[in-house]
Amino acid sequence: MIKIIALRFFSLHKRKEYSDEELLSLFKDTSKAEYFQQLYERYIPLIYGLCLKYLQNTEQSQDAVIDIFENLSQKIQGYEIKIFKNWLYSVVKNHCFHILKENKREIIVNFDSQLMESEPILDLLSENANEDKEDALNKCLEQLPEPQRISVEKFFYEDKSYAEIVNETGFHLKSVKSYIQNGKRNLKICIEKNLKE
Amino acid sequence: MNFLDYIKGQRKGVDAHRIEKDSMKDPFMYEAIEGFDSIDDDHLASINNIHERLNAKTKTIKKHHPIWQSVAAAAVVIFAIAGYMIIGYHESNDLQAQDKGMSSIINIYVPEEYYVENIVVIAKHNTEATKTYKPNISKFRLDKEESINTEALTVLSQQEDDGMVEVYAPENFKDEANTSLTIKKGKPEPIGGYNRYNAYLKTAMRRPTDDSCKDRKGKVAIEFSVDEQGRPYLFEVKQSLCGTCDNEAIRLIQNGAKWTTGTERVMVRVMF
Repeated sequence: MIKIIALRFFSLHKRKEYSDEELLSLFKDTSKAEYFQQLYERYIPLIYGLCLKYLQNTEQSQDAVIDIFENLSQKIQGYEIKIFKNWLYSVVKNHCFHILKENKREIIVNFDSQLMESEPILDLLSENANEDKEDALNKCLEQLPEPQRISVEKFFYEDKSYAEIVNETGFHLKSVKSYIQNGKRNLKICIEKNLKE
Repeated sequence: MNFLDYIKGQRKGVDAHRIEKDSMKDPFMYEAIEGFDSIDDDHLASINNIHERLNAKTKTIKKHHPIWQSVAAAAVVIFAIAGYMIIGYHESNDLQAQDKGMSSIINIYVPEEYYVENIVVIAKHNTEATKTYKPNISKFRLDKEESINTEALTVLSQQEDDGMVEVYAPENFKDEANTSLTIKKGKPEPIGGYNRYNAYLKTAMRRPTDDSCKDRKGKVAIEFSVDEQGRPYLFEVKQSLCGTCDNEAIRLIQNGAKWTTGTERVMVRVMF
């Protein structure tokens, strides 16, 4: 037993790329702050971006990133965390909502981004599925409104980035995103209907 | 290309497309990009700024408690060395005669703050190590007003070499663990009685959710002492079920009712 502990003490000094969950359990086992800091720093760009979205203020967002770090490094030991990234996402969001609530600002929630986890339509557009679905997909693509169809085709078939689609079509960036988003949703509904018939 | 390049504005090409496609399955990333796009600013500078602030912060924390940290570090080092030495002796079988000499009591003192933060780890180490030798990790509180000379610490690191593991804390610390003057003799009891305490253990328990533990049934037995303020400390896992269950049992006792004082150790069983 002691040997294991001792070996662990000595092997800790080797630097190696740990996964999120490994770093987390290292931190829980050893209580060394640097493990948590290393883990947190990986997500700083994402956290900062998310705060920017909700707080719409660079200074407040930077403070929020620091505050969340301080809160978590004290409390994280008490939580059971399965996937750190998912957990962190909701923690950061809640923190921002909390700040907005205190400032009595309206909370704008974009529902588009709420329904996106592992949509089968993404796989369908990415690879060649079976023929039935392929037919349905093509039929449905035809039925999409022009801007949605162009955006979806360019994004999924020609592998163009948003910025490139903007350049080629002259659509606004925000419109391109929502064309793709809505196009995806319409396709899904349409394909499901087609396959039932 | 990584995410930072994308934020910086390299929005064209296969890599940019890949990030955008990934973000469709990843709401965290999707919303972060929305955030960066909604405000016109030098985002990379801000991110660097955050990194610097974070580093500055962790450094100042270190400056605040240099002594605590070094005491803690010394305790850890000694513990590891002690453990390592014992393994060494065990591996060379011809030294069994010396085992008796090795099983002397080692008192390791760590700062109260460190003790409280790491109580679970310490309790585990206590249990794992009792079979070979008897460690006794207690706490002491530093008098913040007075400056503490670090001489005691250097003495300590010199003594590591000659086999005797004895740890001295700075002279002017108050040894709370040993001042049993205010503690009555006898067995402590939970304030409010055992009935209420057991009811608390049942209702407040959070079942572990990790795969290795969530289906385990059984009991965890924790032994501990009660300090003069009625708080449990010096935990020892007498009967273990699995890692998270043990932790949860200790957490329950730590957060539970205070106890009447008494010198005897108490055993509490938590059913999972």
